[in-house]
Amino acid sequence: MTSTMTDILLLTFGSFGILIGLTFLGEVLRAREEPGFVNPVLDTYMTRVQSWWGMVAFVGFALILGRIGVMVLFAFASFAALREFLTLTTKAQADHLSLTLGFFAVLPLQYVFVGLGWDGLYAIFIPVYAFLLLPIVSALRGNPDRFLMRVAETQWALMIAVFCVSHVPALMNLDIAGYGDRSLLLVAFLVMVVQFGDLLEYFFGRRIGKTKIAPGLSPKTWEGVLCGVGSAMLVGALLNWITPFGVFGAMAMAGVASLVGMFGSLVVASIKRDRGVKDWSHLIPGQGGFVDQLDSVIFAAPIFYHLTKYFYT
Amino acid sequence: MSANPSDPSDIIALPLSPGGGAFFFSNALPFAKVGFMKFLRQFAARIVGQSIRIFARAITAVRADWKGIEPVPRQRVYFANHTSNADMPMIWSVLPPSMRRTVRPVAAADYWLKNKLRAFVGPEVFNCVLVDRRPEVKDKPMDKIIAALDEGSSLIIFPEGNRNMTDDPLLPFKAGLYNMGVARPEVDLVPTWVANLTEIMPKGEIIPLPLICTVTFGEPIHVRDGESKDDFLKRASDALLDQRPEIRT
Repeated sequence: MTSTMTDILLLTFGSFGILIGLTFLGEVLRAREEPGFVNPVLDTYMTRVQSWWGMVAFVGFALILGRIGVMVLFAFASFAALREFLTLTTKAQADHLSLTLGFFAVLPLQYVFVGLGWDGLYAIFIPVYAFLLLPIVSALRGNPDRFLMRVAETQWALMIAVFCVSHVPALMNLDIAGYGDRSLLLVAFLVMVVQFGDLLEYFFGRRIGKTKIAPGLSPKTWEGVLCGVGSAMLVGALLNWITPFGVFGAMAMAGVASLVGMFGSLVVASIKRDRGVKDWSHLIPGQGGFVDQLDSVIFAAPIFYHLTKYFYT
Repeated sequence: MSANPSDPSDIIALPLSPGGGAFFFSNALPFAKVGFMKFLRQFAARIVGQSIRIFARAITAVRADWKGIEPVPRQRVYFANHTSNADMPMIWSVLPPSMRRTVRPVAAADYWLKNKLRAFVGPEVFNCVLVDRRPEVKDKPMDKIIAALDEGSSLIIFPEGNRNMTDDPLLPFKAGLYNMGVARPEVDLVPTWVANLTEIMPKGEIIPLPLICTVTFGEPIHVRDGESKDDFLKRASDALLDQRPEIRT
């Protein structure tokens, strides 16, 4: 067994250990409830913990399968996210072909390019080629009604759900001196620090949060965000042994990723508010949709990727 | 039966060759073999039904929003908007198994008996009540619908009568829903909105777009004492429109 594989197993079972603790905590609280009384906060918490079990299992299994596993997992996440996003965007029948191409050509091609490691192409495929070519396909159908809205929202959907999400598996392509095939672990590092940061931001925001960052948009508070980012940095430092960053580098990278992710989820909340929906979909019990769950990872991934590339390769 | 003998053109859709269904099994076959064949067909129907459900879930992540009713087995007539041939399979897919077993979509016989595959899927997988609204046909659609209700089945019907290809959200309802409500007043009439199918599969497109489809079930309505046909149909149509999910664009 390679050391990478040992580390993956360690991380997966470590996460399972945390989940056992969280599940146990929930069950204890439940057992202490008055009979016949249902605490909605606790119910939400338990549903979320159950979804977390599923997610850790999926990500852990994908990492154990290696490169292909991670590619396939995130390609499916992209598909689900794109479906959620495009369900809410402005579109007309004239866009049917370009949207179909988005799902069945742009999305798979982006992941093929990532899989082949063509970093010159997957960095520009959606921002340049999809950006220019899909509106042409729409325009050829000759319906100018709300055209700019239609093409702009479609491009946003592709950037968020495909381009950004694909930068998580793209981390495996980074060729870091002395790090070898361990770049797989960067995927685990990014996902873990960002998600832990979110979880603790939520927790501290509820506990000690006072000053709302964007009132009327999101319940996020400055206190919660500070604690969340701080926790993410701590987790990053603890996980520095799986990264090529060193202790302080890992803290800094974790902090940046977590911070960008938190503000990213404000952007995603704005889109939801604009469309008058609470969640992107219903696919992850207790969490909403894939975009709800991944919003911070989505924003953090390309920035984390490029910072790593700039400073460490 | 209702006071208003149903005008055939008033109901949903179309033909059943007299005794339809029985022609699958030749009488010449010995009984045991017929029984085995029947078992095989039922088994195949279950597999096909599950495949359709899984396919619908994989592509559109279709889900039910139980806004006005609980997902419990109870006799109901689900009346839904009709924009695509996929409407009925979508509603069917989101019903829990116990409800799916007792629900029968009311569908056009001319469509579902067109070829052997459809003749298998329509009557056997979906257990459709096939109706023929050609005036010259003897068994009137409303008689078959009432008979299905009297057997205890729930129904899925599309009261617009045809697929809605216009930009209006609904076409004017045909009288069938009213006639059912008058003939069997105890049955709940549940407005059922199928969202997004027009975008998923617009007319004339070949590849379905994988967007999320939501089926919303509203509060049941009944024909009120002395309510006229037009008043009721207007109320039913409004109740159905109320189930549209609110998404600003």
